[in-house]
Amino acid sequence: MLLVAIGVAESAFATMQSTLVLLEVPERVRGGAMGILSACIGTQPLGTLAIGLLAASIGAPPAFAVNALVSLLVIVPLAVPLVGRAKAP
Amino acid sequence: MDLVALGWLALQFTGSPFMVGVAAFARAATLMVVGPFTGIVADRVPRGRILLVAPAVGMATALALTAIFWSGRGGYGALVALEIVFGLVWALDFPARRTALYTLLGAGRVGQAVSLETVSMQIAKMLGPLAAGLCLAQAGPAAGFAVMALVYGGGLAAYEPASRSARRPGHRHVAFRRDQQADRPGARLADSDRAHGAAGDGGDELAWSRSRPRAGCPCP
Repeated sequence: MLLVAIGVAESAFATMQSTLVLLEVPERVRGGAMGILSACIGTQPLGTLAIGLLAASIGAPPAFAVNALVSLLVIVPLAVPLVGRAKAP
Repeated sequence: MDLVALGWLALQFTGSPFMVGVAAFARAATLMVVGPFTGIVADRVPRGRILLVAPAVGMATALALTAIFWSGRGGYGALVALEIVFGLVWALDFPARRTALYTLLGAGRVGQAVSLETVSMQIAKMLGPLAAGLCLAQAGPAAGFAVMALVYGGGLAAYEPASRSARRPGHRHVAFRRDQQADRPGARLADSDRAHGAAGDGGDELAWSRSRPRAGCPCP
């Protein structure tokens, strides 16, 4: 069940990462912004390598927890202003 | 499909799991390195044209792999080199495709469009490895790459009519240029004309533009 939840969240993220970028940047640099996004998607193997090394050194469950905590620390400060702006009239 | 074929073939050729990782990394690293530059290309070159060129290059690459493996000359180096080309194709296609969604549908519907496209990508991620596994098990890598060439050909055939219809006289929309003018007042219109070849072949750029037709245009 947790893996299903993770899959749903990942799908939502995959949609939102592009949509937010497309909506936030002006037309003249929209392609460039999407190019930077594709470069960021290309860093995925580095993350896989990092989580693999971490899991090898401290074990898989703690590595999973560290990964989740780091994700929250990065995403929450970025998401709060967006939510606030969406609620504003 | 090609990721499954890449992993399996890299292991067959080298017997080294590390070299499988290197091959997969080579493709992903292409995205990291050229992604920002292909995004600039998507801003400067007509997007309709990019959406035709990308699957055409992908199909040519898949056909090259088919020929190499069919002739029995396939090797690790050629495989990785052509996988890097697949990475380049994806890096070229992604920014153009996503920005085309925005210019076609506008801010109100782009979220739904990206969502649908994500669903289609997830379905491809499920069916692609299955097809690759079947091809590798039953007919060998050349058959797998031939199927990939067919898939790219299908993409090319799907994009081509939209691009062709955009080149018809009377289907020249100007919204994209107006958007650009709004973003950067001044020389933007002249830049756009120069970049997209206003006299003659600018139609496909305009094909992906959003909706506000020029006065007198017969389009809805």
